Amino acid sequence: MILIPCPNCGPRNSSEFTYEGENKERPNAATVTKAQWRNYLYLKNNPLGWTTETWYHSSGCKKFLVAERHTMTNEIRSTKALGQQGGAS
Amino acid sequence: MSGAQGSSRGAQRLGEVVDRNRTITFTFNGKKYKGLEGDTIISALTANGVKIVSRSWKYHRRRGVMSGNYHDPNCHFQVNDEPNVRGAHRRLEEGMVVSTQNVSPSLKFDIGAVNQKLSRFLTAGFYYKTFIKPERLWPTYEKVLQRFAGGGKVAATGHHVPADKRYAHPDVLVAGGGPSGMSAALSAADAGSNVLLVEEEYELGGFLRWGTADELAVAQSLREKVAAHPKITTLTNAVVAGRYDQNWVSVIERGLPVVMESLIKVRTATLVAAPGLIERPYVFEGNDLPGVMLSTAVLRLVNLYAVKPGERAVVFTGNDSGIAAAEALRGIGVDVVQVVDARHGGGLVRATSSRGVLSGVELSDGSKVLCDLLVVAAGWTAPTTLLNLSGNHPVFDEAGARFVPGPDLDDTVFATGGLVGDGTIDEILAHGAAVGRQASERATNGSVTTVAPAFSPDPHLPLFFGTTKGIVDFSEDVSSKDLLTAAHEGYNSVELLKRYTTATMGPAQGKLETINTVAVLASANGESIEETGTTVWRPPYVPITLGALAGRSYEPVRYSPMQAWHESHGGINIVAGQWMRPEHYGDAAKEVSTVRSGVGIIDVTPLGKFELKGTDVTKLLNLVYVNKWSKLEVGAVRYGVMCGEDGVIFDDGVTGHLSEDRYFMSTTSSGAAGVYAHLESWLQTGFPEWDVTITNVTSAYASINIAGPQSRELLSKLVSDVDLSNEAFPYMNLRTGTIAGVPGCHMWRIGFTGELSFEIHVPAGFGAYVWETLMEHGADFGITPFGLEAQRIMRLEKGHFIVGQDTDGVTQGFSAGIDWLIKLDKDDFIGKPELQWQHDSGAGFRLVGIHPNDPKQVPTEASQIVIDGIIQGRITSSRFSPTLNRSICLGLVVPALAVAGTVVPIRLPNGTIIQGTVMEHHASYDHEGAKLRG
Amino acid sequence: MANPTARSPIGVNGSTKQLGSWEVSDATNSGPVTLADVSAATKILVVADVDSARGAALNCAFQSTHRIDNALIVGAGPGEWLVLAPAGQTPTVIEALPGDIGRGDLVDVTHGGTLLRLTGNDAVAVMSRMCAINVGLDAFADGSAFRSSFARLVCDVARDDVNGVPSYLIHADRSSGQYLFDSIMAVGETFGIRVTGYPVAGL
Repeated sequence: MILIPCPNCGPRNSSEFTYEGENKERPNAATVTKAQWRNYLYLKNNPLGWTTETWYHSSGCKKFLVAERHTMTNEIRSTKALGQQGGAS
Repeated sequence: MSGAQGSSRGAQRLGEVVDRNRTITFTFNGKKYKGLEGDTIISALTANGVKIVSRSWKYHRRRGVMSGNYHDPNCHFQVNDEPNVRGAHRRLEEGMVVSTQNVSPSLKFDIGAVNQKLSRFLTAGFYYKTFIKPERLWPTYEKVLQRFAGGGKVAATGHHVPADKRYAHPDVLVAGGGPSGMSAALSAADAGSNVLLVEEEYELGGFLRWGTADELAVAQSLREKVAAHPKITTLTNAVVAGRYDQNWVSVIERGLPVVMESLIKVRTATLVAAPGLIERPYVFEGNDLPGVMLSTAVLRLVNLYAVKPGERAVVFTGNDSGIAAAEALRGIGVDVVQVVDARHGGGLVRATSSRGVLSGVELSDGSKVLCDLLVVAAGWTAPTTLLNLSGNHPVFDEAGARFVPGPDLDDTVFATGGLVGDGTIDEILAHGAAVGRQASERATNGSVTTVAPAFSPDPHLPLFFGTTKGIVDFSEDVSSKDLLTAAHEGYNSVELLKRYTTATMGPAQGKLETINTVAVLASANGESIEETGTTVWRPPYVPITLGALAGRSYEPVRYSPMQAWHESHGGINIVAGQWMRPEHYGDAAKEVSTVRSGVGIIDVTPLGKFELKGTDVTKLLNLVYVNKWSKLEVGAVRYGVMCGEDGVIFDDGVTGHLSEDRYFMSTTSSGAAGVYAHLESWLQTGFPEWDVTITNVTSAYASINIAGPQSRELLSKLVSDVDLSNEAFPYMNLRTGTIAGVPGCHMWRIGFTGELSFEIHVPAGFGAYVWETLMEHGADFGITPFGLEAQRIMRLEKGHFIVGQDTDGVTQGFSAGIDWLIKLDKDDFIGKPELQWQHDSGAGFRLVGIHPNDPKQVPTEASQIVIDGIIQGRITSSRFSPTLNRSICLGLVVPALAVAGTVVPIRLPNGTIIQGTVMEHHASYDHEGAKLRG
Repeated sequence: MANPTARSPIGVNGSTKQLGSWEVSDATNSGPVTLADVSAATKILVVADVDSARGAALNCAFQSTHRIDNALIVGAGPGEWLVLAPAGQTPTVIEALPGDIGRGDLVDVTHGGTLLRLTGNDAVAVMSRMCAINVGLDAFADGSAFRSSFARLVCDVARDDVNGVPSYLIHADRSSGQYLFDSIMAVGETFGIRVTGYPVAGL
């Protein structure tokens, strides 16, 4: 059970969070090709090393956060809060 | 033999832990014995002269006390209705019924001992060689193996032991309460850290407990300091079972009142491993005979319990522990006839037996000595498990003849005591204190400045096995001969050998046998122990009951405010997600006909409900729904479908416009959490600049659907501040008002049943009151409560699909018959590219209404439509319609079949094929919607 | 028509009294740990930017609590406050808040939640069995709050001592109220937990 340092709540067990996956840019829906879109939907880089990903603190502040995590050691070297402060229940 | 009588309790010992004034009576294999308060099962049995205490696992060889501690593989008993009790650890209690496991019919005459004669067939890898073919015999093999396993019996009835679980958050966790562990705990606590000290025995002290007067005094002084320290919490009879990422540590606490074992999930900043040393057995012929004991077993029996383990002893030793055992034996009046010291060239060839117990030894000088006790002190194993679980790789210390922690230790994990090295008491305490300070420093500010004194194992002879063959793994009955055979067969890497022979895989989990296994393999391979390496240690450190692992389980259940009413009025529950809901109140078909002809009410509280507030709500709605929301007037509601970015339908519901910047959204039942996360995800990660605030009010409102031609009449009896007429309050509108005196209720003119209906959302505390009032006032109309089943029938008659029932994880928008809803001319919305492509290609199944040609046949849901051996569709919903008096279905079929009038073959689960006809509409009842608009 | 009665999600075992429209337990019990159902309490959710006038008026940091008059304000989330007050009372602090200031919301969630008060010197032992948060008396001091998984529900927990005795307010979704109550009672069994009625103090 790794700890994820929530930028709002402090370190919490990873079981409090929902993994949202690697960060990817949503292609422009008006101009995207099928290949680009399905790459966006289904292909992950899954690197051995540092990766930038989104987690949802579903059992805590209910905020989304971006974490830089090392996929081998599970070390998280930074987390950043997303969204406005003050928009949720 | 096993019943040899007469007390062998000796004179008072300095460190003895038994109370000679308190006698305890217990039975062993049906025979009554007496012990003393403070005895373990094994010390009491030994005091009574009982030498054979069990039969071995595979060959059913007679076994006696061996290591004399928790890990002793020969001392597992059935105690009352509890199996696998560690007899060398568990304290005696009045009236205990102790029996041997794994024997049939008795310990004395065990039929399984025939396996000894068959041992050439039960050799290395016998599972693989014997129990492979033919496959049809596998069930038989399983029974045979279960009898082999012989792990005692769990009570078949009634006995439920409650499990417990808790969390702890110390700064420093010290695993092991011997001198080094206590010293580490004290210095860490003095440095200001909160310390959790965990000790496997009932008492702190470690090996000092069976030591000299000086050692006993040191132990007592440390114990007092620990007990008095406010920053130390001590757990005895507890064990650290595993260590996981970021010092997430499992601790098992035993012997608690009420609960048998309790799991503590500990998050500690730093971990100090101080488990001490485990004495290793020596491999020679006869090494598992009752009467052959390790020196620490003898020291415990004599010095803690004042028990004589024999009358005539021979001591074979490679270190001072054997010498100490000899002294202790002499002190209690045992005749120590010879001390064979390997350091002075002495050697042991074999132990011989008479009537299944030790009768003498043969030494390397050719002499034979009669004895009933052979004490073996061959060396030590450092239980590095916790360090290995922290990613550390142990290395073999050639001079000390044991594995020690490797250099790659996690910087939040520390080791001290015997695990690291040997020394005088003062040296041990000094090392422990330094490591304790380090652990505290690391826990507090991260940087470690204290330097621990040098500490390493003393030189020790590499005593692993002698010139004859013997048992290596006492738990699994694996001999050195088995290991050599396996190595010859090619299983010559340690991990392969382990799996092939099962060596190190028994209850002792390698703590006694790994080093000897590795040593035998190294000799077979002609390589060093370092080259051979060791097996990977995995949690748990010791076996744990399943109950403790399960802990206390939390399974949230959700109830509507009306659940108590449902249960007291014949509601039959069905589990829907976390919700408990009434499926029906006895007769779903009757509920349907009452709603169709009069009025009924259903509890729809599990519908997800959100309040959305802000100037940008319509932007959000346009983004997440496939349809358009910009022109929804205040007071109106609209149906919407949400798709994922893959174009697959994931939720649907109705959203209403309450006031200028306020909306009320409903989702599918049990769908609220997923939709909330979905909406928040887009708001927080995609459009943080939008002004939208979402409040989940799912449980804040009790939701009731009042359905049927008389629903308006009924509701108007309870509502005075809202005009319910069709002109003032038309279909697909909402109003807010007072129902039965409860203000702030939302009323929506929508319904799933196809009848005129009002969905009301009442502040939840008043839910039961409003429901009861509706039932009371509905009596004149012959009102019925209806459950989920009646609703499912009516919605199927009406042709409404259910997300997740009539759609699945690949059903894209255009497959569900909502072409009219999907607005591809919107700028962008979630899933638009995929829906555009589905629209252009026409790919994917299509949802259609299907009527079986035989109106009495109701095809099972998920019946496939197979044509030319290819699945071309399936039935997604099917019911017998009481309204139409025939079976009706919804189904997903390939586009070619989705044409009204097409006859499709439906393959039932039993293989029968029935015919069904594709209908023009999903709805079989009032497809024009005249009734719900009335 | 009779006066409507509001009920907590938790069934009352024993006699009740009427508190405004709410029906609550009138039991009084004490012991090393007690559990009271205070679901009838007024609960108002305020969402606002932390540095807005409205946020500032609440004067309560995230993960802490603050008392103003009849209300206990809980810093439940970043820019999110749960304002609790005795049953039937509108918190004075809410009445005094600046009006609609744009972004954010103010929703009466009295009916959406269940609120329990766990009190006693053994309460912390019960707490440590329900959640993975460090609830040690020093680590989670009076006036602190957190939101986390509690009995596998998402709960807002605030420490709000009563006369120097550790006491915890636990807020969860109303539909899970009975489950939460039963879970705490099961854990508290070892500690001799007793049910007490709606507190005289009102919260």
